[in-house]
Amino acid sequence: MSSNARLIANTPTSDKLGTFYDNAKRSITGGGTVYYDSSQYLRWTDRFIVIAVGESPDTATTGYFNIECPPNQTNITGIGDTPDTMATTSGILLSDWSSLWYELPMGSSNASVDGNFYIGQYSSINGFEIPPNWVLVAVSNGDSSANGNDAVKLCNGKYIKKDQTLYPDTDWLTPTLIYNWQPYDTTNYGPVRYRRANNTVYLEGLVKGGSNGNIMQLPSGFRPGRRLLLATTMNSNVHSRLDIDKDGFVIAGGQFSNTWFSITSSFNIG
Amino acid sequence: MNKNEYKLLRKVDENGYFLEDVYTNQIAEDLVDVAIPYGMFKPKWTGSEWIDEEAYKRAELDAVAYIDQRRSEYPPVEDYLDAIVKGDEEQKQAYIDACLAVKAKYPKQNYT
Repeated sequence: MSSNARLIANTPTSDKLGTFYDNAKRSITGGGTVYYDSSQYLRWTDRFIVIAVGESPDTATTGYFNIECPPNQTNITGIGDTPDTMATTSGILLSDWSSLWYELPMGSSNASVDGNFYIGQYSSINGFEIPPNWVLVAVSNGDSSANGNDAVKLCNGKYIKKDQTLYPDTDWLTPTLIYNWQPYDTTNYGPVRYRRANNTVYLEGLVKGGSNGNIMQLPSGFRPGRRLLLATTMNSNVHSRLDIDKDGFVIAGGQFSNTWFSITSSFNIG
Repeated sequence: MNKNEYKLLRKVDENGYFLEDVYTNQIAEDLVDVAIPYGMFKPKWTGSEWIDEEAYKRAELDAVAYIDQRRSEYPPVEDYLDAIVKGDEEQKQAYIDACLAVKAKYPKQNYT
């Protein structure tokens, strides 16, 4: 493709820049929530960021580069004989054995450039040399799901499977407790809180005083895909049921005590 | 350099009543960045603070809680009927005493 020749011609080749490129490819983090749907469309909600690789007029003029998911109707240039594709509201089609690249806008600011994305299908890029200022955003392993290798490797070091959502980790969050539920003895048993890490939601705490089985509602992004029935403990060391439904309601699912009731649990999302 | 940070905010309806927690990096008029105090039944955002307009209902619920509490601990009414059938005054009095003990344990409460 004509743009490919331009890219190679414009690529600086000094050792200094070579080091910059190497570091840039290893320093990418972020991405927010990443979706790879059942039709193999990939999108991410927050920037991937290339950072801590230096700042100069020839490299990153603000010290970092953002890589934002290109918006709907953005043309993604095909590499070699790979046809161009169009970004949609679902993201970019990344079929089996395809790779998505981003050309770092050397000598520019951090702003993500929608026109700097390229897509390649392995069988269509023979003879094409990937320019050194391109970073690999995502690459698909198209092997059978039976051996577990069928995943997309992301530039932030994570992997995502088809029809999966990867959520970013969070700090501990303090929920709004409903129906008069309140924390029980935070001095000895800690606060009521929850967080998300590695696509797992962790709930912690003891509650008391509720007038209804509904204790709290987890926000979107922290909810399981179906109602979960978990075991828990309540006053007098009685075992009971803790339900977490698909709308995020954390529910004292069976009998409950409002003297104290444990919500400490964890479950997978995404 | 930091983009808008994600926060846990409280979404309210058009009247200010709490709907749900939202984890977002967006700013909107219906999202409140003030935590709701514990113990509220129907929190409402006034624009500067959370209030619980239905606090009276809580008092009302507390005031009638004795009904369920008593009900769960009263002796079976069959005991009383059995005492009448058998003419067993001792059993009858035991039933009455048990009922009075439950009433004393869970007194009626006044509320306004």
